[in-house]
Amino acid sequence: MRQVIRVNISEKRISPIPVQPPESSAVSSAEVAEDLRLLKQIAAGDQQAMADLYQRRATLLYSLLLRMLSDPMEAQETLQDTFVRIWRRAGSFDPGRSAPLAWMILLARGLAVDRLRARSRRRANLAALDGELASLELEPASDARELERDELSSVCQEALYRLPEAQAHALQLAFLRGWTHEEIARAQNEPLGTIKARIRRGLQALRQALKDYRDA
Amino acid sequence: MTPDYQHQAEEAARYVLGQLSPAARHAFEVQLAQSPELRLLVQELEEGVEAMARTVPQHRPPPGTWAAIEKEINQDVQRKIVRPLWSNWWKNGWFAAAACFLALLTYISWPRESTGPLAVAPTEPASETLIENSAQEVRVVLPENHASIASTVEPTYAPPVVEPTAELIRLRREVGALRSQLNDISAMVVQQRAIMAEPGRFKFFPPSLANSGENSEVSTVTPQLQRAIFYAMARDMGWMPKANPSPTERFNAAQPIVSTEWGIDFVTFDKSSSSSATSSTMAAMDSNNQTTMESAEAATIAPLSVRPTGDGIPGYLKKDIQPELVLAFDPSIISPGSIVAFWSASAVEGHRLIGNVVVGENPMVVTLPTERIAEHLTVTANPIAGPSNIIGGFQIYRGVQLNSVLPQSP
Repeated sequence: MRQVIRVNISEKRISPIPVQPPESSAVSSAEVAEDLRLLKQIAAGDQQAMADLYQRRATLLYSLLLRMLSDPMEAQETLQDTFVRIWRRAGSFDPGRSAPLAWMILLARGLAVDRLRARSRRRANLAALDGELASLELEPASDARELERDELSSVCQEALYRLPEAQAHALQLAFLRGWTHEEIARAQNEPLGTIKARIRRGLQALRQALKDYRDA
Repeated sequence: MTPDYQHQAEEAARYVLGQLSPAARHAFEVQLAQSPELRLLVQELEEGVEAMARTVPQHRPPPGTWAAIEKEINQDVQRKIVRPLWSNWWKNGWFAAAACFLALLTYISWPRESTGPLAVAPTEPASETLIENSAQEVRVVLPENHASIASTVEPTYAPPVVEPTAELIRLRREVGALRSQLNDISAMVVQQRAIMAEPGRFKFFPPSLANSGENSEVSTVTPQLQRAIFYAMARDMGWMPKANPSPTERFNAAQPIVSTEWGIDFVTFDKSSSSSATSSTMAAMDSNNQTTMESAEAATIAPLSVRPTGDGIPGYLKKDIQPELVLAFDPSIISPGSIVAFWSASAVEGHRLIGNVVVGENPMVVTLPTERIAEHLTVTANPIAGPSNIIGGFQIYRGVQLNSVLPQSP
């Protein structure tokens, strides 16, 4: 049984907990339930629950932000903003509409997209497309060594590789670079409907792979 | 897959990726709330987002990230601790305390004459402003050449009226005090005019003083004194010319104006002349006199009357623009060769020497400006042989003291 330690911040500072990669095998409803419990406690002002949630999700979110922003310092700042926003908005989280982890990922991604859009006005043309695709192939520089990929991540990455290249590129541009459907359609010289369908089907394919892994 | 479902699914994907405009996002959320199928579709796409996030290589966040987050959270907690104190202030008694305080302020600053109309000093001579103050209404009535305004206002409008009204009350009190002082000064002027308008320019003292008691003796005025007084009056009336004054060796350094005419020594102390009497002179006086010789400012108010307070020294008060006290001496009052000194005295300031003179063989008439006498004139004699003594005194009664009606300093 998990022991919940409540700490009075005025008397004792919350000790930072070393971030460990999430366990790969037990991802399922139990993991979602734990996220839900922590979010409820955070909504009640429990800072220890916040520390626990950071321990559970900081690596995933930071990795996503680093991939999106390609800048460790900016990724770190965005991660801080993400968890502060989680702390403030935990009370408004609706478990009937979103899964806890998806809600946190979309929160972090939204902040990163804002930073990407603030960097420069993007030109949606073929050259820009090639540059973005090339950057997606590169591993962002980081002081931290890449952790050993867990089984779930491998499953998801394999699912992404199985997607048609145009679909995978459209999905990566939309999700990791914040391109709009219209920008991708213009850059790839494809109809907007085609791009919309590629992105939607790509997300559904990845979701199916995740579901198959959890159901297995 | 129907076209509608395909369109909804694509809109759901854009919704999940945050690519809808605010209006389209709001419209989609309305549909989301009404459609369980759409909610399920969104959840599936969000799971795809989670899977997409897991495709990226995993990296640990840099050290210190959690400390920065924790610091910001603690600041949030502190703000939340403070906020309820204000957000719920009306729940925990602050409202009542504030209401009581406002009520107290209103009571303090509200004019006390609340039962009747409060007259406000007009800003213009022709204007008239009346503010009626009651619990429920404030009426402002303007003069006839203005349109009358009588309006009932909410009691909440009353406080702005209170402050000016309190100030007006204070000003009215000051005006009232000034008016009272003006009335006193006016009465004094009338009094002084009445004095000067009295018939006759001379106010005679009794030729002798009646000492209290059965054994008191009545002093008589010798023919020489009567003659001296007559000549003095004739001079003051202008019936007889005044001789040019010349210094005489009989007088000391007080330097009065002296002249001898018709066998009478006329000694006139100028109103501006200063006494040269020294303390050594007064040290020769009898200590039983218990007089302290201190300087005192001469009074500047014309005397209303003069009453002798000692043994008789005949004389009169010459009422004029500059009233003077005229006293007559002869050997029946003081032996020749004695030194006669004149002292201005007051209860507060003690005695101040006006001047002194050595009495000769002739009758002597001394003229003293009353402005050099504070409240009382004391006349002392220092005979050649024997102790000094007081031979006469005169109480000066003046009009209303100006300093008693001058405005008090704030």
